[in-house]
Amino acid sequence: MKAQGYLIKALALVFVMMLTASVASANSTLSIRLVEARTAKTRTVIMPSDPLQDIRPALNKLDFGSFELVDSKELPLPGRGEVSLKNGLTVSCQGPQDNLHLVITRQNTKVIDSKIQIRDGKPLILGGFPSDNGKLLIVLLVK
Amino acid sequence: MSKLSWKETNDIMSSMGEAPEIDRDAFWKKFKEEAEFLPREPAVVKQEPQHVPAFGLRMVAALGCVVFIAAIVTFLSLNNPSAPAVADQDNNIEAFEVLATNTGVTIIREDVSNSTILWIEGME
Repeated sequence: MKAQGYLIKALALVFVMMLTASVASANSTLSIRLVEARTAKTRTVIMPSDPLQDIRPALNKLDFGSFELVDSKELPLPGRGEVSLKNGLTVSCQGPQDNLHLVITRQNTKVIDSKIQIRDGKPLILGGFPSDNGKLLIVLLVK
Repeated sequence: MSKLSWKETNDIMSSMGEAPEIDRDAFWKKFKEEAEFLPREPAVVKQEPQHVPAFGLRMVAALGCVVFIAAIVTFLSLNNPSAPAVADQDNNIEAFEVLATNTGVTIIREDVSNSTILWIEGME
């Protein structure tokens, strides 16, 4: 009976270890932000609470006057879901971040169908969607 | 060695007559005195039978060991510093299809910000 007790404890330890490992490998979140890139140069004061602060170096590489966050959503990774953004855009994700099937629809019409590998902390920008003031960008970032 | 029948044995023993009488007390006294000088073997201690777990329990234990080793291997592979870290690699657009009307697609990799840009020109 003593041996059985040790065995149960060992199995419980293994279970906890495996659970920890699986949680550690599956706790990423995909941040999905809809940003409007405006052609007109406007005076932008970047505050410490700037919602685009972490992706501003990437945005500044684009030839636009200013950027404004329009909408922001998150999806857990591995992805299996869909988020609706403003301007009739929908982002659908399926799979792990190293083999992510990403579909973007606009007004219920598929616009982009892609397979991507997205790395932690490295923004992926899908841009060129028409907007009244310039262009719309969808910025993906794994946190 | 010749084999005597029971009848033959009985006849021989009957012909031998009565056994001589001996003094019982003297016999046992002498026996005990001589026994004092005989080397004695240590007392046999009755050992408890060694506990052998049941077959099912042994199978569960073996399975537990296999799972334990698998967990260790998985844990080490997840924490292997020699394996290329995912964060060290770049984003990659393996395949894409633009279904909206457009005039061209540009993919830009920007090293400073570690970003990847897929830009669709002239999308309607």
